[in-house]
Amino acid sequence: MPSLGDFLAVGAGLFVLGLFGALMKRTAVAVLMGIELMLNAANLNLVAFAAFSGRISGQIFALFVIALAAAEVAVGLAILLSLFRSRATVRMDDIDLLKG
Amino acid sequence: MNLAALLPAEILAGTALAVLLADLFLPHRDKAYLGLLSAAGLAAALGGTARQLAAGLHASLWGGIFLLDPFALFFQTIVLGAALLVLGVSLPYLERWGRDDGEFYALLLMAVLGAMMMVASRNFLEIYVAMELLSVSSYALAGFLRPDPRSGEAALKYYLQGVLASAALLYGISLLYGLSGSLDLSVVGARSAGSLGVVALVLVAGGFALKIAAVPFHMWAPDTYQGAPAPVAAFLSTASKAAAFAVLARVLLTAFPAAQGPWQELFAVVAAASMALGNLAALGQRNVRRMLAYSSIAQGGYVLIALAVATPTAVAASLFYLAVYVFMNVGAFSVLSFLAGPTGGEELADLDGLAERRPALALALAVFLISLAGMPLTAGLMGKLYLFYAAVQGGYAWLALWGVVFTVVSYFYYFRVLRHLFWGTAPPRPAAPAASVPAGLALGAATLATVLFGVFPQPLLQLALHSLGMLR
Amino acid sequence: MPEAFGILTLATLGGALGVVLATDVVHSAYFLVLAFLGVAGYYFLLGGEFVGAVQILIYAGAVAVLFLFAVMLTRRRADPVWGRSPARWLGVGGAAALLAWLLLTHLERHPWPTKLPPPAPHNTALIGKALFRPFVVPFEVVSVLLLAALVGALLLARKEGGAS
Repeated sequence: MPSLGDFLAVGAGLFVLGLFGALMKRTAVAVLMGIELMLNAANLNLVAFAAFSGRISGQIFALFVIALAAAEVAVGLAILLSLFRSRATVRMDDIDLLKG
Repeated sequence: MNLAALLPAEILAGTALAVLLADLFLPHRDKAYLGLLSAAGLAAALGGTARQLAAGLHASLWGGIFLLDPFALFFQTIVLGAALLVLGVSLPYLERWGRDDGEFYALLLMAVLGAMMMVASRNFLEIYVAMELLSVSSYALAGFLRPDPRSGEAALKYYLQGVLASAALLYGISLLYGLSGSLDLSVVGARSAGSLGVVALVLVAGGFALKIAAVPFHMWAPDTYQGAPAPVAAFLSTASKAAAFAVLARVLLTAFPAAQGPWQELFAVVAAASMALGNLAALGQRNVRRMLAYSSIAQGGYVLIALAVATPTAVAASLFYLAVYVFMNVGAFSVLSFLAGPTGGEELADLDGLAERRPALALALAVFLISLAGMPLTAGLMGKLYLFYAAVQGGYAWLALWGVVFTVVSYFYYFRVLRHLFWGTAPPRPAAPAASVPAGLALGAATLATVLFGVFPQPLLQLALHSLGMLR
Repeated sequence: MPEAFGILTLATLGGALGVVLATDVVHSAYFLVLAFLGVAGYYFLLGGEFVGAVQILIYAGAVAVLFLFAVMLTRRRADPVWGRSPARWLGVGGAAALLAWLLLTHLERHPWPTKLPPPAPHNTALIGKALFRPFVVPFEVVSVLLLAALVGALLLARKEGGAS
């Protein structure tokens, strides 16, 4: 049986890969995908900790996060859509009207 | 008992639902009633919270998930007060915009609800959920002016950075949960010692720092404050910031008193960097809204001095400062919202000769700006004095000195605006829209409070000190 | 058991790597589904069958479809990470490597419990009870949040021209 440390290592890998993607990608959709990977890493941690300590609260937290993430993604994609209508771009480099 | 203590929050949620429902049936010309309904709900919630604060309520609800102590109630009052002022200014703003009133008010009320729940939480799950409610509503509000790509850009930048920070925050929480086996703030800290706990705490603090717009998590703030509707910018820079500060203070002071040394140093650096970057970047701005955005990054830096010093005096000073900051900052953003179109016309040159065209507005803006700068007879000065004094007392004299230096730097950009207001020549232009009664009330109240708390700061300071009693 | 863990790790981390490295955003979305399914597999392995099912339904189902819609409704563009400047690679890559090293060494060093206790027999029932007793307020806050997201998404995605 894999140990808790193995699950945590996968979570850490997922978190770092997601962060890397979020900071390296140019299109907003891809950035958001990276962020979702980070959220999944946190969720994996929560469920693993809950299972290994025989507690339920971690699983509950993970359920909440899944619901919140779906709502958040919906709002984010609506923002993207509304911006795309007025600017016809989803590349972060092109979104630069506001400057000092 | 549980439900009665949460009555203000329930009123807010009910008002939000009522606004959404009424929006379906009201004819277009009567949409202003939605604003009045929201104002009534906010005022009722504010009254209820103020009464709880006056009664010294200290209740632990639902097995300690909620803690309605004076500290939480103080911040709830700040948030509700800020929201009420913002709402007053939103009424004429939405009248000019001419649609989507119901959605705006409902989202604002739900954002306030999130902020209220957030400051009263003592459980990471509840903190996270409430903060997401505040965030999701704020993202949508920032992008409210759909046809204007600047509003969309403001929303997208805030959204992406906000979600990124909340993912980091959540990962930090998950580590703390693993270390301590609990989500309860009063338990987590004691069992999360060690270097992994520090890593987790930094991730958590980063998530809150983004909402405070503290360096290095400030990148979204100038763009979002400039591009979002002006009343939304006012809300984000005050209520949202105050709520995040409250949670951060509660997490650090109640859950992690043992780890004080390292995070005090960390916040000393963050506060110093925020003051420096905010004030220096504001110097170069021609757009007044963007200048105010950088100024509010700097103001966040002043408040964060409290977390570096971490003495009761310092935290009480930060409570005082945040309370008066609400009045002056909402006020300043509001004046701009009257002058300009939805998101434009806020260059320095646009303010030329405002004192001749709109003397009352110009005077109000002047009061807010000299208070933000920290001149005598304003609440801003008293707040800064208390903070710097607490810093010196707490052994952070260098931070106080740093703050004084950058306060002097800030005079340059605040007074540049004043010069345009009073000594610029007014260009011929169409008359700005007349101010409405609710907006006049909100601005008048903000102006009055800014001066009043500058002359008689004692009662508010006493209240702030008293609110700390329960924080240990 | 170790085989299942290995396969899931391959799917999860491979999927995550695919999301980052894929040039086409649509391919990234497919890799994202793979990673989501891998994480769901871990949940089943850990005895959290309800969370696992929700993960498949919401993440691998709804969220992934939302992403695909977003790609289809906006312009589909290549988004290679290879094209970023060397300075960015160095900065972000260095920071990511540092963070990975920091997390992994600290996670390794901590004395975690090694034995997985047998999963509670009525796991899903326990979740239901906890949701409606101690966690009922967060549950209600989430319901308000879903409403806020609904209102916000409708407000933003509405087409211009149609008066409200």
